[in-house]
Amino acid sequence: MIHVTATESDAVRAIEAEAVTSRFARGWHCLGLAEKYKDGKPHTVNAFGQKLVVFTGADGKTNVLDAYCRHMGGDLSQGTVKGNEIACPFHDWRWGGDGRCKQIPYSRRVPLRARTAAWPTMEQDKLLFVWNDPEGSKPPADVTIPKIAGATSDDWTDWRWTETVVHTNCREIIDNVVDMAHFFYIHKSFPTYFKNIFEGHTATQIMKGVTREDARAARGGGGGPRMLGNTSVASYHGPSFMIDELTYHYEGYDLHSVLINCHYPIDQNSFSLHSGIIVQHSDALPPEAAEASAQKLSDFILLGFEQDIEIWRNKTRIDNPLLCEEDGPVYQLRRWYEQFYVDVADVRPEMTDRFEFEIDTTRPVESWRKEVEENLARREAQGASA
Amino acid sequence: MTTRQDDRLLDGPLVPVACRRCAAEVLVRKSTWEQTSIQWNAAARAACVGLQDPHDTCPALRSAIQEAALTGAIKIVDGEPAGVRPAVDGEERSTKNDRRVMADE
Repeated sequence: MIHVTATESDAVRAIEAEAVTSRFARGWHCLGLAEKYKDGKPHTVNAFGQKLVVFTGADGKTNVLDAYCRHMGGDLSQGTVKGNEIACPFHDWRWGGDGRCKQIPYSRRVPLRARTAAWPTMEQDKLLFVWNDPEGSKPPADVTIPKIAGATSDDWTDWRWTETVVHTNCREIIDNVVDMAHFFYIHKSFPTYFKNIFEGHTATQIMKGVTREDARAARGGGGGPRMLGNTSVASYHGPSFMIDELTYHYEGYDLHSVLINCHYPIDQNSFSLHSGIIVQHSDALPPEAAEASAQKLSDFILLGFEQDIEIWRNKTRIDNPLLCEEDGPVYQLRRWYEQFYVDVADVRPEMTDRFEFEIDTTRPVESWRKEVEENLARREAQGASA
Repeated sequence: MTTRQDDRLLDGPLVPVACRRCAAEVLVRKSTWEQTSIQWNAAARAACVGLQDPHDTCPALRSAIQEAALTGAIKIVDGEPAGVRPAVDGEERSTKNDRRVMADE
């Protein structure tokens, strides 16, 4: 047996966690498919600790306002869209997308101060984005979500979109950016290369992986072309919207897809988690097959979310994770993430300065290969005895 | 939110490495030959001329780091903290680990 000499290593490591901040991140947040909000009806969206109303006026512009009418507190999201305005169900006060009361049909004039909170919106790549800023500033031109060419191309599928409510603080999903090992243990994938780059308002994860033969065997082998592995280049652009250029390598061809992993906070202890996927058509993957692949991938991503959620449901929040050398840069990621929770004037250089971290995957790959082989051997032995 | 420091930096800090192609000086840590952390600052980022794809590491800087590791200018931290993991059968332990780990019974 082996033990460590009596040093600081004898002290019990305490888990530390400060109270979750009451502030919500500054940045663009995606509310899902833009089309959903274009049905001429008001939509209730619980986000940033508030109730919002999202509605599209006759002019085609989608607006986001605080849901509570400044008159007597009526819920605008239960109201009616009239022209370009949302009418309160309580007394028919009409509110414009700019947050100003435009008309009170039973009154001669609109009172001064008849202004409510309005969130800047943006529609891009068939998605609706809302800008949250505790300081109330307009979105700067250089803080953008990059365009996704495939989202508006004929030779890509349409979005397959999912929405799931998760009951934990959204920092948990951000941590996944640097968490290589959980991809093996939770998601049954097999990373062989892993690198992070944080710079400005983007945080990137570059991951290459191979197919896990034990997971494939557990799925019953599966017909069709054999998947060899995948290459993923995934970046958060701001605090909540990740674009993942995800290529699956099959025997004889590559499948190109773009995966969106995004969320908006509902409150401090819950968030709405969305996934979206589009798949490129190719000779190996004509439109119908691409649609089928997109659906399969979407189901697979949802399964991955469920695997994460199961962990989050039971884990504790931890501000001082104890890391081994084969873990990613959790602290540096959180330092990057903090820029969205402080005033613009308080963003420190170290939050946005470029940081690169490449994991040595030698040991993990060696260990995981062994585990996969053991799982396969056990499976074979069980099959033989059955 | 308090910004905390990565405890791993206690086992091996970030140390400066200067690129030989440009004026960039960055902070580097290597836990093994294959693991690398690179902390840039604004001055280094502005000076760098070799970083074409932001997802890459600048090739000139990569060489400078490799050289610094070879010459011992930056120390490679042992990737396996002593005593945390029992020896696997047949695995050789470094003398450094032997010094910090005692055999019991």
